[in-house]
Amino acid sequence: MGHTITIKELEDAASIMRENILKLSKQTLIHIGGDLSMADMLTALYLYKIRKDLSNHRWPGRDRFVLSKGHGAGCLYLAMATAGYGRIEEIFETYGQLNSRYGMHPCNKHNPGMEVSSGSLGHGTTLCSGMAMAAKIRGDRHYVFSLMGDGELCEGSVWEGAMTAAHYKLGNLIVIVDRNKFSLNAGTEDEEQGIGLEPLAAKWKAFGWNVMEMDGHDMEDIVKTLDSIPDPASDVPTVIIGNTIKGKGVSFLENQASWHHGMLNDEQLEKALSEIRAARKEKGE
Amino acid sequence: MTETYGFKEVLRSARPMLDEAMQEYAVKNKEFCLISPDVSRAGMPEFIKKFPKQHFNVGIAEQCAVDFAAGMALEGRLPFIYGMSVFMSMRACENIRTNVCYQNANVKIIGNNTGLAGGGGSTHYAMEDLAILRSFPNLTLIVPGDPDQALKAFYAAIAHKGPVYIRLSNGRNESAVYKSDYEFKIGKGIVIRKGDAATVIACGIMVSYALEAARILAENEGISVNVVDMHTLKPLDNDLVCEMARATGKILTLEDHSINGGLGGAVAETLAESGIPCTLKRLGIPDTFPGFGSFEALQGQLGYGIEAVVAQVKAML
Repeated sequence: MGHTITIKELEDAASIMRENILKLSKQTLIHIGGDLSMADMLTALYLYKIRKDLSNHRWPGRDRFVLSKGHGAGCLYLAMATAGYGRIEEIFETYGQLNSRYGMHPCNKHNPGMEVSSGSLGHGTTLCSGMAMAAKIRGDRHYVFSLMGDGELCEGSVWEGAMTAAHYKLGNLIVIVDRNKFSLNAGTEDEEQGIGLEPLAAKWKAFGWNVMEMDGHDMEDIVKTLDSIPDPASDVPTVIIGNTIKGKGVSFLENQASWHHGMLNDEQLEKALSEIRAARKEKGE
Repeated sequence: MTETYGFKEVLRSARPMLDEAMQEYAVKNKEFCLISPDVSRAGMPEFIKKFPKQHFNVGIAEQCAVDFAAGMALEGRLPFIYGMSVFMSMRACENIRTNVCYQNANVKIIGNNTGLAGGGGSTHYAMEDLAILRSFPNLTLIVPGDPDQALKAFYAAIAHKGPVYIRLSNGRNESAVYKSDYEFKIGKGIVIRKGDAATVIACGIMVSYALEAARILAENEGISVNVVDMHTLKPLDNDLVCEMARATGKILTLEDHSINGGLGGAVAETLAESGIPCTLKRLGIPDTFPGFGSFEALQGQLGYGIEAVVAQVKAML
């Protein structure tokens, strides 16, 4: 596919995306914890993996992407804008305002290149199974990617879709789970408040899926994993469990259920940005 | 005026008629497919045998059926879902709203076993589907007045770009209403019998009961009423409702659905906003969970059978 972007460039892009997520969360309420956990994976998807034609958003050969965890909209808008679907300035100028195409959950009516309006959790496997089935019938060679939150795996419909995708041998369906181990209320494995998702890989395996795992913050591992997903003509759907950290990159946001969503004040923003920049500098050196 | 059959003079079954229509259409249009949460064998047994590649059974999983169809439609296919209305409209309620209607996905849903006509008890009576689905933007709601009209609705749904819900009754052995052919247009109700004393607006299986009540009123009481087949609940034919209100000043609605929020509710909203002086009586399933019994026995008990229509029209005069 002639990918020329380097790991370093992807890391830099993810770092800039983190800065923008933080700045956006100073100006409006976004789901900052999950945005920061998915930022590296979404950067790799949009800038490296997903095949697209910016001059023709309906190009039949494009890979499809559905953000099942639609509350990660802020991160999606930034990833899409970085990939060429819009202007980052427009996100900051208009987010949440009347007639803006940017709001808390993604809407495809106003966003060319966005496949599906999302935000209601638990529809990634079901809806994407239909999209993948249509592609399989046509003999298309593209993938249908869906990024899901780990908390949304509690929705029963996820497993209806998981059974359907396995039954119809939808090898062109790739689900990536942002395994940041937190939902809104608490840690997913919290003894009192977490419903308990583990053993997660075994669950997907039992549903007939090919299971892969990666470090969702190690760009090299992300790229390597995305490079090794099965051919779209294979007959087993794939789930990639991306192990991540909620609030990744900012010490006081990491692993805090209370930062599932929120807004930063001036002081917090400054501290957060300095941490992100310091990490980037350290990595660069 | 449209020629009609007498009450239960001719019985037809929408299910095998739709089965045949789907087979015919599937040959012409390879994008056509049937998706079902495990009930297609009871509805379209021949289609699923002959067109296995255009049939998808997702198991007893209504949410998945709806989302799967939405995904197919977003990719340019023409999915029809066949399922039981009580589960389609409630178990998969949000999926219809968000993944079909919000996306304006070209998905068609055929719901069966509606109202009390299908039997099964209150877990299986779809009494609220119209009330729920009527509030979803982009969704067209059709309640065919007889089995033949279900076929017309099928083709109209194909021609219509966007989500459509077709509400069958039970789909088996139901009164044919129309003897002569007629034009079926989404959103245009049909006056199938003319009168001057009052207007009965009915939908679905209750159209045949309304016609029989009108015959009895005419023959036994000398009272002539309009009978309207309001086959489209959304968009509602507001002009026809107003025309009937102006002409007779008395409207009775009749539906095999809760009196809250369905045909009666829709007509009431139109009338209230029109400012036309008109007495309205809504007949249908009252605000209760009905028990078991034959359709006619339940209608008698709950007050929306032929006798109830006759009595209520007389009471309005």
